[in-house]
Amino acid sequence: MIKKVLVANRGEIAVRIIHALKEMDIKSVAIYSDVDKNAVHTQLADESIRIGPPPPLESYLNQEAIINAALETGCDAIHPGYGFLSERYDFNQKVRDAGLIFIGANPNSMRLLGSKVQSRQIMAEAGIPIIPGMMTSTKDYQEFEDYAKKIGFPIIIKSSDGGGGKGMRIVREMKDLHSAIDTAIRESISAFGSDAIYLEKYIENPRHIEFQVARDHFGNAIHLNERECSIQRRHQKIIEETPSPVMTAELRKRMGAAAIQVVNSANYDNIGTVEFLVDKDLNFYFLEVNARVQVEHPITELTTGIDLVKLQINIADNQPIPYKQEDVQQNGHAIECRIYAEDADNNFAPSPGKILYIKEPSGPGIRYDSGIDIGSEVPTFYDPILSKLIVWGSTRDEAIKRMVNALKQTVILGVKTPINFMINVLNHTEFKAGNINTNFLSEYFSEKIETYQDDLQIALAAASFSENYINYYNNISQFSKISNPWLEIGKWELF
Amino acid sequence: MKIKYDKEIYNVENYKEKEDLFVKINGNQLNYKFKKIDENHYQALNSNRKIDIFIAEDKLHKYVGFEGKSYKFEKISNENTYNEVDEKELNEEIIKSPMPGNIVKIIVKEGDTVDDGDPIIIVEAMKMETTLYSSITGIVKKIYIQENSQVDSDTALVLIEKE
Repeated sequence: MIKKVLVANRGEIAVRIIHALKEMDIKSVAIYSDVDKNAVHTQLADESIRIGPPPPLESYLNQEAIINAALETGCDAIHPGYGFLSERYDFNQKVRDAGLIFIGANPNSMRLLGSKVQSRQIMAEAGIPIIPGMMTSTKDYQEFEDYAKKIGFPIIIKSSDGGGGKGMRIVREMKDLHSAIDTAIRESISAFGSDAIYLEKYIENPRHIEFQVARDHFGNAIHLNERECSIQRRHQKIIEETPSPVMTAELRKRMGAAAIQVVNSANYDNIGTVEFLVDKDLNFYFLEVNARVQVEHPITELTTGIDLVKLQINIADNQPIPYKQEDVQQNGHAIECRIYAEDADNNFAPSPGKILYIKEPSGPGIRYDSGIDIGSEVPTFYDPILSKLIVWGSTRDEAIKRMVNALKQTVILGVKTPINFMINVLNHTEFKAGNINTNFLSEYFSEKIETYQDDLQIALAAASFSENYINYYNNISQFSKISNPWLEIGKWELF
Repeated sequence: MKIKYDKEIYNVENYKEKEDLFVKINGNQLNYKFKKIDENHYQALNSNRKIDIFIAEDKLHKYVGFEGKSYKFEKISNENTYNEVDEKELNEEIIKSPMPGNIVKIIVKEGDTVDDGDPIIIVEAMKMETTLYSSITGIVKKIYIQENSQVDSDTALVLIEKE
């Protein structure tokens, strides 16, 4: 019986996991690096323990320090969240060797599935369609060149041990191949501590549709329907929804069966996600398995009513899945928008800084999972996700309208966020029609969104009003005549 | 007061009419009156619209957000700095870091000739690499930093001068 869990992560997912632990009457221990001493997750847990300086390799990727912290604080399990060490089978094994429960699949299964090239081999053997490309990883330029020639451009270079769009580069011409390989290796080492990369044919304009699956230690396996995650920038999802606008009962049955076959083939034993690319004729290809909880798990929770983090903990605690496939419901429609500290007008460049003000959205069908508070620093060292806005509606149309309204309510000042950008995406005719693919943003939103003069004028006026408000009350009758601090300050520049 | 946005300067004046406060921008009255709700919360109102506006500031900036949109204004202390910089900007480009991060790779060296659009430097923050490009054709005059160094936002990295 799990009684105390160390949460080996930070930000919104650490907060999400701690909430589940509290509901299950399980004690929680947060870990933090020096920059996260006052972070929301650090403060929310029952206990917190410093793990090291800010660089990930010395803190949230420091396996020994994390396992020692769990032992020192008397934990019986470690929850890895997503990213960081969540899909590292070596860490998984070390956790178990230390006598602790790892809340996730067994290390063998994770090794097979976490390695994209190995999972491609297994799936090809199991008869599941895969994308043409390398079946092993390499660093050899010549091998990349030969493969690229063989399958033809465009190709995509991927980190075999990665995910979340990092360490990925599309290459359309031979001359760009070497630099793309170098970049992919560097990003892969930096993000995943691994230099294993490989090459696949790049499928143009596919949909990204994934299936949430769960399998327990007794071999019971179910899927919890699909999530469509086609709205991506830099190969990273930013808006996800369920059900997929193109899903039919027949296709769901086939893809769901394939997803279950994937986890059965790998003797998987926890919750996970089987990702597929789907072409315009609704042919699907196995992409990879994410052997962990997904960023976008809440949309499945809202439509199935199943708490995935609790299910994950219970499976790790040797309990059988309490549902059969036929018990899994699909009620209504849910959408998630990921709110990152990033500049949508500048190729989504990270925008670290200090959070000066927050107003969270509220209302029926709205869930807001956040890892930040007013005064939080958004450090440069980690993935810049701030929070996730998730809405549920009885139909897709209602969910879209609800999301737009909720985004308009959401205020985060101090760093740049793509909130306005996402409102524009959700209001786009083709998005509303469900005509989306993974290149949707580069197709329709490659240009900077125009600043409306009316809106700019209101912002300028409000800035000026907030500065002059004091004067207004101090000397109402002479307001326009008194010394104007703006003239003394000089110019303001917007950027 | 004057506010600069996207190379344009707006002249913003506050004035009172009866008991309400209005704003003129470039001499044109904005059809909204303004109200303060609390320290960060303001409202702009006219006959058919109410906009909730949120404002925060730090030492150098003022941040304004409403209906999903947000704007960042920076205080500039000396008006003349602009003209000087503008003139200089015609003949040189200082490539600055767009965010705090780590210098992964400096592609050029001092004395190199570069074209408009050539990659100059790669900065990494939050696990993503961003390549910075030259926007002019010229010669790399000065490199201010070294590979693997940590830089802040707006740190000058490379100076390129027109030939």
